[in-house]
Amino acid sequence: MTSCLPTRLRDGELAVDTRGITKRFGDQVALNDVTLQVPTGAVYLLVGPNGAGKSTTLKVLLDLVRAEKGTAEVFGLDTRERAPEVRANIGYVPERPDWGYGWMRVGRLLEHHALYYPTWDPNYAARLAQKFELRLDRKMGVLSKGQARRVHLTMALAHRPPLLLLDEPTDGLDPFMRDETLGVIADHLAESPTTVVLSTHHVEEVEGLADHIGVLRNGELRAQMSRDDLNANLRRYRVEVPDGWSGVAALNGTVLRRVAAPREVQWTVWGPEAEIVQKLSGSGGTVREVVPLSLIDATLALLNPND
Amino acid sequence: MLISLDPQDTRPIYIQIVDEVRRALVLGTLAPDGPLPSVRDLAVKLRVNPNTVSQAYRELERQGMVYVRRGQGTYASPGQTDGTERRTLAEGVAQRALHDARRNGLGVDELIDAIRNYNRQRKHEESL
Amino acid sequence: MTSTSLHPTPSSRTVATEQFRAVGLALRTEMILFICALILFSALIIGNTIHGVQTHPPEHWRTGFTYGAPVATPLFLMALLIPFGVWRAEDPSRRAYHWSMPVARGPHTIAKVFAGWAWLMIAAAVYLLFVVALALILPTITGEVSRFGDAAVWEWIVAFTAPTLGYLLTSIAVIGSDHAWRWVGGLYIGYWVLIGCLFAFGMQDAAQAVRTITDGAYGLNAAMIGAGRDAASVSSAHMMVRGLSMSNWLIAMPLWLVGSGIAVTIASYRHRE
Repeated sequence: MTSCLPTRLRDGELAVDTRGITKRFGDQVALNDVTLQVPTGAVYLLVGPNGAGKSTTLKVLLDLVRAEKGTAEVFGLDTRERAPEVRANIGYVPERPDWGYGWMRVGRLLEHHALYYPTWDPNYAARLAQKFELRLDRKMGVLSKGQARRVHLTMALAHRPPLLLLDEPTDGLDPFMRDETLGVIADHLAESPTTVVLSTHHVEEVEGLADHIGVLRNGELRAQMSRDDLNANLRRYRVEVPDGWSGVAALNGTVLRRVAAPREVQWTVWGPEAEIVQKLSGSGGTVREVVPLSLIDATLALLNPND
Repeated sequence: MLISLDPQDTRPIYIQIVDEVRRALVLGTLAPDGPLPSVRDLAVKLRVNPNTVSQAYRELERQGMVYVRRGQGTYASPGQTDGTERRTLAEGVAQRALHDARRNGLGVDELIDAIRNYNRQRKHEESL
Repeated sequence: MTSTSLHPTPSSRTVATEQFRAVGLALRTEMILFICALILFSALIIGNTIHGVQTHPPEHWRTGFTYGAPVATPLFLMALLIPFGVWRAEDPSRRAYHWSMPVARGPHTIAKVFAGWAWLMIAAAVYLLFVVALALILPTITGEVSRFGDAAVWEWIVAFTAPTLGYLLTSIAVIGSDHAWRWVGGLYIGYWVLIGCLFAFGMQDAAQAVRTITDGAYGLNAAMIGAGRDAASVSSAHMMVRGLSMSNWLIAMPLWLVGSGIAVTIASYRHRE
């Protein structure tokens, strides 16, 4: 049933184009035939439970991890054959907090990083350092997770890369800094055309930023679509049903959730609204409510469908 | 003019922004020929994709509520005297109310009666 | 996104220079310790010589040391430890930052190895400066002529090749493994345990055969300072006294250097995750 969810985007220029990426760690399958498609300029939210393969997918793009099968391209460049050129165009915030040299001071590390990226903007870096309240004289190794995360964000953003790969960018940050980070990202997007792929557990935070979503589960890409598509097709239907209701034969779409109570059934369905309402009404029920879902609710439904 | 988004609102964000601007126009917090925040400023303030704000501004322009001054920004259109926006707002409120009513199994007439009764009661309490 | 608007990778020169500076920063503590040790030892030697001159008759005066290839041995030992400083807190499981830079991984690792080596050579030069200074100062105390004219040219070159070899050898382990200490320590201990066992079980010939790795004509000691056990030829009385052989060194040193260089390169280019 869930195979009816869209997993391929319509044609368009892709910043990230992976085809059938398969990766094993020992006998564990981390990624299974993943075809990730991120249009240029998109803000793509990659969701999935821990261990779903989100971080691994990002690492394949950086050639930190090599897939056994499949190809990956970033801006048309093969991530393996032309890895240095690909990496020159990526700003990466990793999941791990120990990134950079632990013995180096923050200010020195930013200098070090700047030399590797000729497009580094020192004024922007200084503004970010101020915004994130970075202590330039502290050694990287003694920073807390949140403080380190803010340094990583500065490192990733200051050279204005065409592609940002953000793996849990607000992890470890207090609520104020989390909010500030979202503002920084919005500002960054307004200033420079950027494609963003981000994974986060705080889905509600990116409600306003994300315009594409990809759902990873157990190494498989269950669904991939634009927010417009999601908004147009995913609905929750609340139907009042009479006693002894016989149910509805088949709905024109993919049923993700179905919750039944006496006299009321709630469906979360991906499919054409008009036809579904017709089917539901036709079966004897009264459709009380048809609503689109918030991003977080949509994510939960896509991640954990039940019949 | 203050624009804020309701996290519970599941409509597309650009539609929410359009509604917020409409509300500001009707309430007068956005004066005719008054400036709207730049796309960038609003995107940062709302923590929203700048493309979404652009989309909202384009829609506002299409509906005639705002106009763009080359190189200077977006401004509210000069006085709307025909009450179009008021009616649109009212329509929006009605839509939400009816949706809520339907959800609770209430009919249109029941809703209208309840509104009238409640309003009468409130007026009575205020005059006391 | 057209290719013309893609961002460029950094130039090799920028990378090499920055690696040199960054590794210098990483080794700062080690360098300070090194300089302090040199100053301390120099002071001790001078002090000891002065004391000797004041308390003993001239026949017993010694300058403390004369220059010869074995003087490079402390440099070799120090060089064994330097890679741990160069790759501080970066065992391969934590090397992702280094690998994520917009530089090909193999060459980038080599660049870091090279940077560490450059600092090592500076240290060797400083070491030699101290040696020469001492050799010039001590005779003024004892009245004797400096004794480093005896050393052949190759014995001076050893001061640079010996630490290079030590550096490369340990670098193989540090680059290739998460547990470099285990490899280095394990190999060293295992080597002597093996020889000891072979001797203990009466397999003298086998033991001697294994021992040629360090002590043979072209073994590690020969590559380091020309001190192979079976000196193929001895070209001066001075070297016969020390058991040094230049011809052994001329073969052993390039052999070991090239071999360890290849191993370092293989370790650097190997893909790890």
